[in-house]
Amino acid sequence: MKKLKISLLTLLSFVLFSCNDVLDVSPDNRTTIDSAEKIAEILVNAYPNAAYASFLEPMSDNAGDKGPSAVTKAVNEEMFFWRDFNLVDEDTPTFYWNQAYKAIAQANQALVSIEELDGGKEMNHLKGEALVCRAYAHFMLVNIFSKAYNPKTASSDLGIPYVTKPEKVLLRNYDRGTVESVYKNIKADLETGLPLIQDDYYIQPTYHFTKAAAYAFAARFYLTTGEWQKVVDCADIALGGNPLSKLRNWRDNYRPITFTKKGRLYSSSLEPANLLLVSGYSSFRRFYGSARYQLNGDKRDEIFPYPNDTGKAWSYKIYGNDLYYNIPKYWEYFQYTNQAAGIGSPFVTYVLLSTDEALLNRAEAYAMLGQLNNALNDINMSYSVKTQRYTTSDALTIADVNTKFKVDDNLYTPFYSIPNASLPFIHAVLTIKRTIFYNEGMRWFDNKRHNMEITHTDNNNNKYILTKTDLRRQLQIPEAAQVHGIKANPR
Amino acid sequence: MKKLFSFSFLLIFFCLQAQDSKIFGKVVDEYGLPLETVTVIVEGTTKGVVTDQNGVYSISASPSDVLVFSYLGFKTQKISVGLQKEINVTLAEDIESLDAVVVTGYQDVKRELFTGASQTIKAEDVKLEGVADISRSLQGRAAGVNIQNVSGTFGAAPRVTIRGSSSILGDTKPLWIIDGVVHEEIVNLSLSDLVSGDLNTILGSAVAGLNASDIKSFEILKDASATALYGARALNGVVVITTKSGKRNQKPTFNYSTEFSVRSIPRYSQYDLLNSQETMSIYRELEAKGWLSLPNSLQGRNGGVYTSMYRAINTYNPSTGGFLLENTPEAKARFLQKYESANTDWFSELFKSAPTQTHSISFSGGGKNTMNYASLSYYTDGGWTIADRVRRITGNLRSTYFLADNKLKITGIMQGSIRNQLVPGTFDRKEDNYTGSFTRDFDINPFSYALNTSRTIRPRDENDNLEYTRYNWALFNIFNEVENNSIELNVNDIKFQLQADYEINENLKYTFLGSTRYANSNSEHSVTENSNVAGAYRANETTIVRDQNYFLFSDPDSPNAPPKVVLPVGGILTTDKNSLVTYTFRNALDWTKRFKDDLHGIRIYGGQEYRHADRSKSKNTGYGYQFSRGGTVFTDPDMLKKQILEGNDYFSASETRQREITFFTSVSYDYDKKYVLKVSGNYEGSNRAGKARQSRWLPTYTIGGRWNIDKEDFLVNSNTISMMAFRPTYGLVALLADNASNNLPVFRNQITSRGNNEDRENYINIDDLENSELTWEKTKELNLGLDIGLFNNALQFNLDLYDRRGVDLIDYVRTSGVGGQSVKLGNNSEMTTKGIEFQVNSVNIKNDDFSWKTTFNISYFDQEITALKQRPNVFDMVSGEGRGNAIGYPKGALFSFKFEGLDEWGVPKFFFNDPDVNPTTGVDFQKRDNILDFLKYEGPIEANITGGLANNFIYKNWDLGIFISFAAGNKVRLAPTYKPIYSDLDVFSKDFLNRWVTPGDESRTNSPVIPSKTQIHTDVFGGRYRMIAAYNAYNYSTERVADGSFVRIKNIRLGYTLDANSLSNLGLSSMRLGFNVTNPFLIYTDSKLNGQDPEFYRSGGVAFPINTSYTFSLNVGF
Repeated sequence: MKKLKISLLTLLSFVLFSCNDVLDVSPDNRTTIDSAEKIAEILVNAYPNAAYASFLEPMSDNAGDKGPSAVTKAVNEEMFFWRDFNLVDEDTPTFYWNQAYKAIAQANQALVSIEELDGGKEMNHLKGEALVCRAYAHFMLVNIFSKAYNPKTASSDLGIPYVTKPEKVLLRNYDRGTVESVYKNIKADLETGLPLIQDDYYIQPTYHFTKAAAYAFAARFYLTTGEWQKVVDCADIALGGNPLSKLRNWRDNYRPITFTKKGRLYSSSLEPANLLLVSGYSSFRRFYGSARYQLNGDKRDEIFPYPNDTGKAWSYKIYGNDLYYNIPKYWEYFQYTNQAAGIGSPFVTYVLLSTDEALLNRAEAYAMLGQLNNALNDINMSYSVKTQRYTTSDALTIADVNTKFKVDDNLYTPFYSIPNASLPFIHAVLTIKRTIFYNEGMRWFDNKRHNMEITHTDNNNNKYILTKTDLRRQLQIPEAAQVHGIKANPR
Repeated sequence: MKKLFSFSFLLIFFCLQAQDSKIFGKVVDEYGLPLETVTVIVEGTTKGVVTDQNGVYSISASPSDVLVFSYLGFKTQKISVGLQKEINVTLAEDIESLDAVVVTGYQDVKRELFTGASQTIKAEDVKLEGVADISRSLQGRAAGVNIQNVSGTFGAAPRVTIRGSSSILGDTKPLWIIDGVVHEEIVNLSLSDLVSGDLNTILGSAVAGLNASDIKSFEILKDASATALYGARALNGVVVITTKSGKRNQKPTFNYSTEFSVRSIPRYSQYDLLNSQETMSIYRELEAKGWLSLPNSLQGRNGGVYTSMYRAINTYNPSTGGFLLENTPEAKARFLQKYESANTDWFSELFKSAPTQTHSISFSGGGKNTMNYASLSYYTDGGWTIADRVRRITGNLRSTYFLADNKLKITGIMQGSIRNQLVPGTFDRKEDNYTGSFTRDFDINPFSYALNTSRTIRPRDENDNLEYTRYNWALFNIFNEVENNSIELNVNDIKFQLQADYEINENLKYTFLGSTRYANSNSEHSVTENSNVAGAYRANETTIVRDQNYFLFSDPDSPNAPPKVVLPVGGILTTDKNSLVTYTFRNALDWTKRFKDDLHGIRIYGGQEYRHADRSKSKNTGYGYQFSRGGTVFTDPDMLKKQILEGNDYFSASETRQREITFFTSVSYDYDKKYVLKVSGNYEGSNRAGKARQSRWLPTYTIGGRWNIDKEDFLVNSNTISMMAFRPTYGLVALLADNASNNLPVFRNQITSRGNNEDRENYINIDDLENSELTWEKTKELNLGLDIGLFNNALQFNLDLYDRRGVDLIDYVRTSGVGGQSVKLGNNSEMTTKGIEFQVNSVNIKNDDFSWKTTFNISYFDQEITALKQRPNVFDMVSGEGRGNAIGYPKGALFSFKFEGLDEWGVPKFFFNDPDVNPTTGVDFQKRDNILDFLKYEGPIEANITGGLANNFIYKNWDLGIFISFAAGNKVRLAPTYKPIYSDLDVFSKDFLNRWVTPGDESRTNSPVIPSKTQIHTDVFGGRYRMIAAYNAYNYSTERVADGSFVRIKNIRLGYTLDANSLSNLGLSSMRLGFNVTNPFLIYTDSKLNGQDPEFYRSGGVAFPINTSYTFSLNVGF
């Protein structure tokens, strides 16, 4: 009797003690973060897996109307008329918002995991990548959803929530902060992260912030804040020695190959010009050429004039007819879930940072610093690989730039003033950039940064104007975020 | 009354003359076997003796004495001595009648002390002969239990919900308990999995491995008080199954029973499908509208008679020097004429009348200290169609030993089953949100095939050779395909259980229970080299086909190379394995005592339980397996490259682990068995969230009372009211939702989705961010029950009213996205369910020759979601799969597009509440905003009125039972039959005869036009995809919905039982012959359904509807 009681008690207490151990068993095949390698794997997903070209290109002055015979795609049409757009599918602003914050959450988790594992110096490379990733995603968000950076008004302009900790509750409230506070945070993260970046641990370096990619991003960042010398310094690091060999060589490598191969090579990790790639969930490949408000005849002539300012033709071959004008820059990878029904998920690889951009950002900074020869060198270098049969004799001179890129001084009105001598060079850089980065969404950022007025002309010759102070330059905060207390942009 | 009076008078008379004398006699059991060591005492004294080994006793007593015969396991008998000298006694076994005890799986509680709402069902009363899965037989039998046979395939679970279920997103299944132990399913299936028709569905039934004749009873526990001890998993109710056991001191009996069942074959007259002539006239219209042209039919993906015709036109015949068919209108007409008159009856081609057979033999017996039960059964089903077959063997062994002066009782149970099943080769279905449809690759389910295939197609030609059509660019014939594309499933399931009950003293009992179960299923999907699937992988006859056929491989490394065949030889062999290992251990103490002349009773029960369930599954797809070459594997490496690049895992494995620890206690007190109060508590812990400790433990509680009014003075002598009790209970039950377990962030490893394999790398995704607030789904339930028995319980009523308030229910919520997860699962919804359940049991007539019993039950509930953050899209709302949730509506409501007639081209229009949206092409299945503004609420998809009516007659040796079940209050979707693009494989319903043909018809008909090719490709209709979406919207519109109510004769059974004389002549102890008709017909369904079964989801795959079966049964005991 007594024995039984004792053994029962022992059993019970044993059971009680071991309860929590038993219940610690993982319910399924989920992963625990217990090593530096696993933190690195979290960071693989700290890049926004989404397209922005799909909604920024039709907003920019690159978009024209091909008329009702062309394919209508909601995101393309709504953005052309700068309307607030609430769909949440791929290729929309909301989708980008969600994916950018997803990337930020991955970066924040990596930072927390580093702390939890008491990671010291040996995890600095991870910390570096995480911080730069976090800075990058926020930078893109603030540039899309807030006003262009202007130190005079930044402290009162609405920013975007800057997230530095993993979310731990079902619904958390976030504050938008100001453009100033967001930029301050980006800068802090970027500058802490930059020196910690190490290239040698990356398995697929083109999909990560290598030193070159991180500095290319930094150059873009300083370009927006107007810190010209830093742009030059960072671009120098990004480009390294012999930048010419790293530029995208349309003249030799792209012009001769087929349409399909061009598309593949453009976003290939083997292309030295690509500093940072991301494979985004996107169906842009299916409508980048066919959608109604893309490159029409007029815009083709405007963006790809024949000849270009060197007097020779661009190496770009425009494919398709007036409903499908395009240059192959994308290819789709379709991950099937049901092959017979053709159902699955489309992915498109996007070039987020390239040497071409770093070079032209440096050129713009040189121009602002008054180093016009340096600027000219970079401009010529850019032309040299994008122009058919380009020879050194085709190089522009300062005088050429001054005459060929003479421009109305009200076209560009950034928050700083552009010296008169620099203006043609700025115009040259932005014009070349417009051509090179056609259909990559980049033009919108230049439109916005330089406060350019944009006129869209529809098929019936109606003009739609986005003025320099138009509130629609800031994309509207996603509807779901507004519901949860994120302040909407004024309209 | 009079008799009693005179009897007492006599008694008094004898008492006066009291004098001791020797009394002797023999004590036997019901079978006449002598009982040893029976205690015989004179009541009120200590004088007593025990019987010897022959059951004989002798004792001295006076005529006024009363002898008390008592023996463990038997009912105590008292006999007044009177003038008798020899008193022979037959002791009856002390099995409390089933109705008097509630088996909760933990405790057996006397009904008069049980506070909860529960219902006992005897298996023999409900068993449907010829139906191997006994859970189906509960349909309509218990108030508040809704059973819907969404698929009739062996092994598929019916959808069971008790009281409308309490979870919005999570499981709605009740907990199944077999002999006190939670019975886990081999695979966890959600509601939409259940109706999917995928292979997994036939692993869904919890009781598929149980022999129906081994089951003694069901106890359905409905309210919080009844399910109290199950705590955290009992949110959706509990079904407790008790299996048969032997008896002590019982003569060994053998029982053999057999059932032969024949099923009816569906007929075209049940469905409103067009015959081949009418169909051909539609094909002619298709041809006229540009669809069935030569180039398209010849090169297209699928094709029927037109494709065959064009092939004949296109095939050079060297013997005649011409083509097989001349390309002249006359020759073509002659060719089509053959098929126009084909009128193939696919049902009779594909269905068989092979009987199912069940053979079951059981043994039951017991000695002085033992009880044994053993059974073996064999079920075989030769197949209702040419593509299915089932065999199942079950074995059951149960022994109980009484040791240490009956203080220790040890029971060992071993149950096992082996099942072998053949089903049509099935790939999992996929959902296409964009056009609003479900699709399945290569569906060859014979039932779907018969309903979806044109009657112009012939399975065999004039010379009786198989005739092929075109499917996925390759040759297809259903007979050939069924033979060459099939799944064989093997399931082994074995359970060992040990239970020890030890009486520490007369008040205190200790129980140990240990149970373990190993179940595994193994399926092999064989797609041989001769199948259409393999053919599709090899179809590259022309460059057009080659470029269209995505079963070919386009190598990204050579972008300009044409797609190539990567399955040049062999077929595909896919193996799927699921395994389940469970352990359960329980220790419990039960203390019962009555005080002060039995006035106060207290029972305290408490204990601890540990449950452990590991599931693992793995899958492997082997390409290039050569079935005809001894299984030699010949794989093209590019096939693997194709699979890898397209993101398919050619093999996979995963595991889940479930650990649960429970501490439970209940205290009940009664005053004179008149007033009962019961309080229960349960403290449960689970590993659902892994290492996270917050909200790992959940306390639940209930409080319940019972007032046995019949024991009150004012009723105790009533002639009318023989029983009356009032049961109020209140409690909290909860559910551990499987779908959300992110008390800590959930990380999962994945491979990046990058186009080039060389660029891919491992990554860790945050699948779910941490939700520190995540907690259990809870329901607070108030139940008021009233039981009344009249005329010595010849008429009984049970009434239960309940109010359930679900809080912290888990559902999706769309967040601001800023945290990094735009859609999250969390506790954010609430739902209330109010219901009423009513049951009548009536013995209408009972005399020696004739008896008539009626049971009737009906239940109704009203459910409303009161808080919800999720915003389902249009497809969720209209598809009727249980995902249409909105505040103010019941869970899983069905909505429809509002059909607004046909436009001037005969194309359907819908109401969108927005002038800017095109009424046809504006259909957007993915829209989430303000969708209730333009969708129409039709009703819930789950019946909220259910019930059954059973009448049983016994006349002499004959018995007859008629059982009717009914359900009402729900809506169902009609099968989606409209498409903008048809082929010469399609079959049409009679609505098509009435279709829009010329302008103006829109005022006459709602049956949309068959669009012409130019119409589909012009911008007016926004192109092909928009058109498909519009026609799908029509399938999901107010036009295509029907009332789901039905009244079904579920079962008619007629039996003849042999009487004792005949039996003894035959040397048998019992014999019964029976004839059953199960599901003979529907008394009522909505005529719009046109033969569609309102319960059945026509999802293809492995799903078959329940059928009418005619069963002959024989039961012999000896």
